[in-house]
Amino acid sequence: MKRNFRPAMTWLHDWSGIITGWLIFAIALSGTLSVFRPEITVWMHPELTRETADPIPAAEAAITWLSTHAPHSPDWYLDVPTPRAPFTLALWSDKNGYVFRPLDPLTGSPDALRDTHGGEFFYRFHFELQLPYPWGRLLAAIAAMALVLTLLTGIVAHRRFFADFFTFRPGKGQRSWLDAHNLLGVIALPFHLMIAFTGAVTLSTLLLPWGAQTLYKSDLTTAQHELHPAAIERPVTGKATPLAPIGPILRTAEQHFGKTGILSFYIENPGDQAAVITVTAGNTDSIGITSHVISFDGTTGTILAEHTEHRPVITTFNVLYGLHVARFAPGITRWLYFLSGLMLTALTGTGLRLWTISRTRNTPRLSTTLVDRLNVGFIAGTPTAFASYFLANRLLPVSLADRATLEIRTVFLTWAALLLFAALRPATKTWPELLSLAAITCAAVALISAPWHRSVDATTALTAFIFAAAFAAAARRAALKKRHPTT
Amino acid sequence: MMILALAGFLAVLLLASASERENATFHSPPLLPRQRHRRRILALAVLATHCALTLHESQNPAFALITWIGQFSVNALLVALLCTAIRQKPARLR
Repeated sequence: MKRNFRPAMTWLHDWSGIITGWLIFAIALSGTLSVFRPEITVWMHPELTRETADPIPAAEAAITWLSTHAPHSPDWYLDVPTPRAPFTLALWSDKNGYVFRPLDPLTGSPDALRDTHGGEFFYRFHFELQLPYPWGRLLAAIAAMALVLTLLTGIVAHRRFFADFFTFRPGKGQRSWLDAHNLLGVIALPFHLMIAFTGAVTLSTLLLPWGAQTLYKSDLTTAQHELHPAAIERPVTGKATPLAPIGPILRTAEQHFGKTGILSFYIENPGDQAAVITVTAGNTDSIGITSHVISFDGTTGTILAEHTEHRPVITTFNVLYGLHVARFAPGITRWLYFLSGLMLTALTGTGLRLWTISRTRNTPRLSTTLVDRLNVGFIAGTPTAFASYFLANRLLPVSLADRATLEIRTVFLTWAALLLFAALRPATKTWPELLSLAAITCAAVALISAPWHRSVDATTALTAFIFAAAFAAAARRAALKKRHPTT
Repeated sequence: MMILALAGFLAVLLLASASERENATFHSPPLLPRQRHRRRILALAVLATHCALTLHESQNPAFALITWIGQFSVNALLVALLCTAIRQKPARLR
């Protein structure tokens, strides 16, 4: 048993890795980018020139605009401006479905801002994969569990965990890929384990729905109320009643929340006698999310319910969720999350590459050849497809109808085209080609960030430029390898 | 802040110089196992002190601990690349 344990774990590591590797690669890269979700949204709105916005006047302006332009929406969800995102982010519904737009902090209107989902696309894609509920989330949950399994089996499979802790020997073919894979896995292992485990916990209700189903049967209202005791649901009365002024309500909430401030608020039944305003505190001073919520009567402004979360199980969940989404993280920690996320992405990429290298040395099977080719499409194609989202944001006409959807469509069309291109040609040819394309696309993102007046434009340009340089170096190496296969 | 960050990098570098494979990168002839052991203990002590100081300096120890773990990963990556660069250098330039 002992003698077979390591080979068995290595087998499990290889196969769980290759089956879910492409999915984990895309999830890890989009998750890494969504660390800077608000900053990406700001970059994608070059019209936003203000670096700061006062949350309460911005919320008042947003409510005034929504009262006129979305009075029939059953609810309005609003994230208040923060130093990272100096705009109000609003979600409401119209006859075509949900509308998600940043609102100008001064006018409360989305009209002056281009229609884009900004960083929200990467955030949503990270756990919904642009698939309908619950399929995307279920796939992401399975991928998170598979990542936990792959990491744990990888620890067992890695024979020289401490001896090779700092070892990377380039130019030695498979040995170099294995070194890179081990290095990236070992040095950021606490992050990898934490992010995989907390990711699985975040989607745990999809993986383990039976507890809640047994306890609450189909009574979702009771489940929701016990989970969020301060959330008040009132049926619509049909009696039109204006909303109480939002400013004093938010100021009262702010006094209750203290230094954490307001994160968001939502208004149920706006314009009706049964309107309820629920305000959620920020979480800048704790790892856990959503610990303090107050509900106000929407027409009188009186407090209906207030809840500060102290229940151990929910607090534990909130801390694990908070660790995953890193909303608490100050600037330096956010960058460390970003770098560690890149290491996880590269760890997955090197693992995928290793799987095929070790199987294509002799006469490879058709399936191995196909995996080898598609690896190029995923590893070099995914960054290119994601970069094309940034390019589409600046190149599509601002007045185009349904522009936000077209931006997202650009990503998937680019991705599909690159995967097809990679599938039809030998991997030795497509590696340098697609890596060069990734370098060009990233360099283009750096250039279209011009004139770099805003700090977010300059930082994005610098980051994109570093990516471009890294892809160019990789493309050069792949081209040399193509000419001299033994190097 | 900068001094603390530099101390973290140096501690990881010390740990690398005590490792089985990388000590040969820094020392010719390589260190004896007993010397490596001593150096490893010193490196771990410096790392532990660095962690304690980081937590002490911070207003929120939980945030600081998460940041410290992230910094260790990045430092380890930089040290690994540094070791690679030193090893790649022709022997006459070392």
